[in-house]
Amino acid sequence: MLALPPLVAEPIFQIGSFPVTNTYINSLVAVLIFLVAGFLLRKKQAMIPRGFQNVAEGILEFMLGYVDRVTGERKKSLKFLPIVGGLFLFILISNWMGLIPGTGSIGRWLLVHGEQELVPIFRPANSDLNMTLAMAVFAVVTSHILGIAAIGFFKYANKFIKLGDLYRSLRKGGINIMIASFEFGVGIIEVFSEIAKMVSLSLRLFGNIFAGEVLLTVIAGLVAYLVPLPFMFLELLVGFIQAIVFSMLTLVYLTMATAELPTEAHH
Amino acid sequence: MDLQSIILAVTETAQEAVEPLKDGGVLGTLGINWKLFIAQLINFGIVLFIFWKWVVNPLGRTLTERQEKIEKGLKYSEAMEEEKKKFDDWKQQEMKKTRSEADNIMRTASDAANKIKQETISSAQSQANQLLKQAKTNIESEKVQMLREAKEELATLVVAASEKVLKSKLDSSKDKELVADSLRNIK
Repeated sequence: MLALPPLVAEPIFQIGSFPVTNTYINSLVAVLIFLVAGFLLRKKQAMIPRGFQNVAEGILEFMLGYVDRVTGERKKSLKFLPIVGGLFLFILISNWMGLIPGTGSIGRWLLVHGEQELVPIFRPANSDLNMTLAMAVFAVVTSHILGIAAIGFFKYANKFIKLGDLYRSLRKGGINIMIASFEFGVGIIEVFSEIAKMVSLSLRLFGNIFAGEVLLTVIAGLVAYLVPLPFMFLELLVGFIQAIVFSMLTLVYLTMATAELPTEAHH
Repeated sequence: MDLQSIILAVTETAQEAVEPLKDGGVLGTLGINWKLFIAQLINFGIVLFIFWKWVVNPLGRTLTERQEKIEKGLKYSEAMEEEKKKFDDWKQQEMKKTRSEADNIMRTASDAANKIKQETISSAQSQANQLLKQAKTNIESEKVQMLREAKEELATLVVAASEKVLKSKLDSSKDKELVADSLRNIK
């Protein structure tokens, strides 16, 4: 009987009422990798980089170049890089960790739906919607916080609930009131689009990685040797692309949220 | 493992997935569990914190510092090069100036030396000429004087001789004597 990975991450054991799922274990391992890398880089840094510091600097500069292209200024890039770069590396490492042999094959025999089943201890962290949703919520909420910090609460709120524009249009009268009413409606739609951002971000990543897991399981089930290789390569690519997509979209949200709205255009 | 069993497995998984929908709703189907959500959020937060505090901050600082250092170094080397060029130009100019000055000095010196030489020569010549002329005039006047003196003496001698001859009768021996005497006197 072929066991396809279920949609929901399986709990391996419980700590009190907290279910420790296999995806949670994977994300813990990813955290551990970051911890070790961070600890190595935290120590005294040489002006002339070598070894690991060199690699880290290369990756950082590479990312900084991409971030620069979106934000257009170095100061903003340096502010967003910890968020965007952290997202990118975390997603990338979690995705690629799912391709390491042992993920999905080492497991515990547990009773699932009344049957003894081998439940894998490791499962790609992003094939759990809890993880992707947590990141998406964090990204969108951070973009709002930074937006408010950058242009002020009332100006920022006016992006969504355009009472200020409506009030200004009343003083001008005529066609301006109609335009402002329409824009007020558009602002309400914007509020929903913020929720849609979270949903689309989280579901896109989750769907891609989960589908990859299912695909690999199915292909490996059909032919065990050689045939899954191109698919695994494809998953490497998907993992990379999804990491880029998630972090780039977050970067765009951050940039858009912190940009001043051209309010003068309405006048 | 054939296709049929795979389809069967997929169907079963789908059925299993739909089952919790009856009690947990869509979120339950997708496995959303607020405890796990918070736990994953904390995990991600830790990752971000590490990345921000231990990687981006120190590395970013190092990168900026290094960039500044390199820029400073480049600017410094550029400035040095310019300075060197300026110095070279100045040196070249100074060399040219010095050389022309030296040439000038040499020329004036040699001119002066030539002039002095010429003057010395001409003055020496004129002096020599003068000396010569003076010597000549001196000799001339001395000669004249001597001649005059000789004539005078001769005259007195002649007078004396005539007196002697006239006093004593002249004979040939006396004459001879007289002549010799006169000659001795002239000498």
